[in-house]
Amino acid sequence: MLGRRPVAVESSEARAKPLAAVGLVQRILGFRELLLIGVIVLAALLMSRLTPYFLTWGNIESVIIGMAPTAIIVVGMTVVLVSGGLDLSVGSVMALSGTVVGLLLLRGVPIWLSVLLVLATGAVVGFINGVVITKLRVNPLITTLGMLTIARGIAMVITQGFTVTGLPAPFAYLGQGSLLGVPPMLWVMALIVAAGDVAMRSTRYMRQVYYVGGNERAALLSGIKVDRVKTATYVLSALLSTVAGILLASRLMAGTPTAGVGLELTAIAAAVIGGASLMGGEGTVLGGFLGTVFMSLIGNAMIILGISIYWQGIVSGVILILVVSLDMLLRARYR
Amino acid sequence: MTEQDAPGEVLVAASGITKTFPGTVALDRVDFEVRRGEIHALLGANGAGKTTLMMILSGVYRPDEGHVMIGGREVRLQDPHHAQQLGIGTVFQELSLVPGLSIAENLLLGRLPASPLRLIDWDAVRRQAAGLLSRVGLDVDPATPVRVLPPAVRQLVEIAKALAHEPTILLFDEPTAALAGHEIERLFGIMRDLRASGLGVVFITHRVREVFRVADRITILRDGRRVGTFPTASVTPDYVVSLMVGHELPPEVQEERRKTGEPLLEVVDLFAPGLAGVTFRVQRGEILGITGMPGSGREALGRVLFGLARWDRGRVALDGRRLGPLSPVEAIGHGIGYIPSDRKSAGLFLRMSVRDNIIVTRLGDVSRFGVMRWSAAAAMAREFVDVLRIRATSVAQPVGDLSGGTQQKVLVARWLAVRPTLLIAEDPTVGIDVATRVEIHSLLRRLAAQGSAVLLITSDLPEALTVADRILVLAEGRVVAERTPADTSEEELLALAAAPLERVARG
Repeated sequence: MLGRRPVAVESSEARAKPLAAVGLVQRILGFRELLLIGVIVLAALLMSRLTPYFLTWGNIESVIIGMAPTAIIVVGMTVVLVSGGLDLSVGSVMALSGTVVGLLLLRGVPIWLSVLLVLATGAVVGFINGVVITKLRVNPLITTLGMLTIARGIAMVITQGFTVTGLPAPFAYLGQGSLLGVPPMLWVMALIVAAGDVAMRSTRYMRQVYYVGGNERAALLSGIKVDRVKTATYVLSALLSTVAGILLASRLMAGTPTAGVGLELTAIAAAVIGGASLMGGEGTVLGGFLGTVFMSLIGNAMIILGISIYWQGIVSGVILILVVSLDMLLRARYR
Repeated sequence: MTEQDAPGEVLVAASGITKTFPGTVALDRVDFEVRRGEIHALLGANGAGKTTLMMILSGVYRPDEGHVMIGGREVRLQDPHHAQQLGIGTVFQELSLVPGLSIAENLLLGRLPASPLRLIDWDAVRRQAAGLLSRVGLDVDPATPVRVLPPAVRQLVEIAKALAHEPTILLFDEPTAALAGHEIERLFGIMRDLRASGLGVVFITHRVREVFRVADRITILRDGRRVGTFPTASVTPDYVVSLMVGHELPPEVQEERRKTGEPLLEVVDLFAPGLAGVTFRVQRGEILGITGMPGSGREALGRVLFGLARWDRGRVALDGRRLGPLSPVEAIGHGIGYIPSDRKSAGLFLRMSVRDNIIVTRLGDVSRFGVMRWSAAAAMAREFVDVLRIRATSVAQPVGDLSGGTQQKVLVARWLAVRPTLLIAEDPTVGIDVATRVEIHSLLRRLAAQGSAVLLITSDLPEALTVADRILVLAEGRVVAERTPADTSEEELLALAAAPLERVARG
């Protein structure tokens, strides 16, 4: 057993150890982000060799716009996973909020008020998830599975299954307008990811999420209001799903009740590839974002290479299992 | 180094075993042998390498260097199943029984006897299971689900399960950690029986006194090295302890009696599930030991005072202020701290860093406007790491990588960090090596000396006798006796705690 050694103050989650080689490996493992950045850069380089269309501004912009709603949802999903929970209702909540905002706008409700009302709806949905999970002690998987079908059902009922179209033109600004050269929705995404990452790393409130996910009972005994923190994660997740729904509706100028089917699984996969653990206590927002980028990149690559869309599910499934197995293997060596 | 020729032939011999983990040499060229018909104690402080050596012998880990000989032939153990086949049985500390299955199914798991139609032959299962249970002196229905068995009985079932594979040597990993006095006696009886039937028994522990009651030979490990192997009769407990810790232990001196000040906690006629009218007072600067049998109200008292369970009636006053119903958050707000006995499941965040584990109760003090100040957090953690001499490579090391004693110090640090006015410590040194135990005791004393009070809820009577100023004995949810260490003894405390039970038994 080695004695304790002095070590420089580290500023975040770095699990730096002073032992050179091991320390480096562990730092990289701790920073799954670095690994992902490397893989993403490699994939991008490979793609740009294979096809000239890949590294065009048009393609890159379409990839980013396409992934923006998912990236926003992954922020919430990561937080829920870190707390040791799971939120399957994100895709339906996104669809619900897109249709609700559409219907409100068609009734002539001002844009700002419609957006606020929908955000409030999202918060209520998340609050219900949280209360059922913490107070009634229903398993998160069951609770949010129920909410998944309920939210989707409401979206279907209020639209009778039809897409809501004919939205007022100014509403298109968020998804189709331009702010500093790109659609404002990209700035919204960037802001949410950046704020989410900083918050999870360095705010007192969000640090509690790691404790709750790491060991719920110990967190309770250490004076953390566990139920409140858990509920907050579900409210946050539903709120971000709502934001995603509003942005998507603006981009498409339509509220689609069938939007985001299966998105919950994509979001979980992206968060897990980014380093979140289904056991709770681990994960970063940046990692989840990079996981989203990585998966979108693969999707885009398959499209421009002309590979059938049907292959996408297979490829992303294989990648998910590969990344997580690789991680387990690397970690097992150091246990 | 004294080596003695034990009577039997060598069953298993490990030589030159080296095993490293990142940042740690767990075992450094260790030799170890087990002979037929001996109880061989493998003794060491936490982190000395005992468990690693056991894991290697039971096939869980593979050594980096060195080799293992079984019956004179060199073997490479592939996995625990392979080790079992070669006759090495293990009774793990973390029990491996499936709670939902019956005793019989657990004992014969994976080898249930089947009739020609491939249906399980339940009569044969029962018969074989009953045979195994009788070898550990258990007379229970093999159809009983394991779920309903108390921990001590589960351990006996675990031993029977290991015997089902007809081992030639049996490894016991800290088998007495979870047992009460008479259960330990029963376990030692079983170990002696196994020895008599020709097995080699390995008793892995850090409890020196127990080793002297049952072992024939002692191998001492320290910091991953073998310090020596001795016949038990040739050494004294004090000498063995000094070999374990590498230096003479500072004696646990009773510091001069603290001036106990004004009453801090006053509990009057407290009723709650498990408590039937408890009344006592604690003064500032005092360590009050609370002991009793499991179920006597000992654990319930700590839980109620920390807000983990509600009280039905009674009066609780802290610093003269009467407290209403509590939650843990409110209890902490009143300056009450709580060290739970099950440090892994209820105390620590194993995958999080030493720093995060220490600062969790003081997040407010290491943040400004809701934003963490990591330099302040690391500084606070490092201060406690230094003061408590916590052996970690840095404050960023995950707590799960530390040895048990070091983990416990981290937990103690967390509560010292808030300077509680009342610290409830439940079995704070269970499973902890002697050296760390002494350190934790002196930390509790220091906290009391600074004007706090400590409720030391303990099942460990020597601990209560060395650390506490006064000792309350609980039974059936009530205080049945109050003593000072000077005017009582372990035997008397035990008798007081057990008296109501005997009355019932005579009943």
